[in-house]
Amino acid sequence: MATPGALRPSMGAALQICRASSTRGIIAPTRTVTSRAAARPAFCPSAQAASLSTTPALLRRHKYIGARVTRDNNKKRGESVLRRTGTRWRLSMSDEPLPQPVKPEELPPIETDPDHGLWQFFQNRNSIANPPLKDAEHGRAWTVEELRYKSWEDLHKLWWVCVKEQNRIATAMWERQNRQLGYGDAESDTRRKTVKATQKAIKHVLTERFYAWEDAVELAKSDPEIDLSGDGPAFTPKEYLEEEVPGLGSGEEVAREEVKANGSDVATSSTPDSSTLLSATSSEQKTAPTI
Amino acid sequence: MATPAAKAAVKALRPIGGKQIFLPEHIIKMVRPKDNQPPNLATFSVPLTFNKFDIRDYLFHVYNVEVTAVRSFVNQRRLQKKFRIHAWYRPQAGKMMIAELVKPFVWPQLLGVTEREEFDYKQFYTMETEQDKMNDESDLRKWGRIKPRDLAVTQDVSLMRKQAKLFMEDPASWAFGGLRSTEKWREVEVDVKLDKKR
Repeated sequence: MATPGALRPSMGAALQICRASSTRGIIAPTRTVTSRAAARPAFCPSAQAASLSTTPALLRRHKYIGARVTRDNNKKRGESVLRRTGTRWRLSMSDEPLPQPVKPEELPPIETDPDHGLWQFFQNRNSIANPPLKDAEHGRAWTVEELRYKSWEDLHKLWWVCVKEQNRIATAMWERQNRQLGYGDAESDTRRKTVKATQKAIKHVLTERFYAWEDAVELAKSDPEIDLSGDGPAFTPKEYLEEEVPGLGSGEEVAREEVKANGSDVATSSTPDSSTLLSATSSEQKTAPTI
Repeated sequence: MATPAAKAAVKALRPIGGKQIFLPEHIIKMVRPKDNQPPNLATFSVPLTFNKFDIRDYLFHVYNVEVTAVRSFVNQRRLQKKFRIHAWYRPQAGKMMIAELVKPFVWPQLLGVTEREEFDYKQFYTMETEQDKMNDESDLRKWGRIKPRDLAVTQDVSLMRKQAKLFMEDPASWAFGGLRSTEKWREVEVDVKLDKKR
């Protein structure tokens, strides 16, 4: 870099002479690495004997080190894919060693993450499908009666548990049938039907709740305490104690009737919160369903 | 695990749909990959209504599995005949999807025949083969069709089988025309020395 501009042509000339004397005929001019190494004056005994000129007579079209004497202007003469000569020009990756291909069986085994989400598709990490005796170990489906007391959150969670179980059963069924594992289709199908029954019960309960809600809306239309217009509070309760009107009964009875009228909304209001429900579920599990 | 923060990070990184489905009834099966299928590909059998975006979001939200790309194809079923009615019909096609996973997943090896005791494989195999044989026999009685494998084995075929077995045991013993054996083969022509002086 610090070489003065005037010195460069002469250095080039010296290197040219070295190259001509050391690598003539034997090494292909395309092998720039070797020719460069050989072109160093330290390894070139004939450098001293050669005449040194400072004139730019040796400058030609190709000025790079290792350029050959050209008879035409073809930059790519001598390059061949078949003879694997490589390029005439030094490329940025010429010094990079090429990677050696490795056989697939010699590669290190790929380890699966034990927490990988796809494990949830399997009943059993060893055989994918559970053996029939183990597959038959399950309780009954949830009944509609039990599910009536559950909140929407709980029912939704239970639904997704069922969906995943269905996927697991279907995956096991596919594996058992396509890979001829053996018996177990009947047990698997019973399990599937149990899950299906639970899902059906969930939909039953939700439908019941929807009908109850529809009826409540109908009732609310005729209820003076409820405002369905959307402006202001929806529910403005009247005074608890009302004046006794002779012949109409006591105020308490009227209030009770009102509660009854609003009671169709029980589904959401009377359900306990999910934390108590979950504990109830865990205690029930001994007798009640596992699915 | 799937903390909300981690899920949000993934959502920021790659597109995830926002359509909410509360009570789906789709059943998705995971299918054992073909031989030499790379472990970053997972195959699923999905309902015909599913599209690529659906399975991507389904896997992410339900199983916390990230997917970079999905390929899908529909398998047409073979024509079948209705039982006893003998009317041709085509069963409904099946859709399969191959998802490219971010984290590779290697399937456990298939259970060997001896490891399937819990599935009562021995009995299963005997019953299946017996059933096949009975079906073939009934076919033969009904239609008079003989399967090629049940055709009488000729002498030529049995000889060829014997030779093939020998060849598989020791390929070096084989030569064109038959087995190279000193006992079987002897030189018939003998070199005659000619008197060159004549």
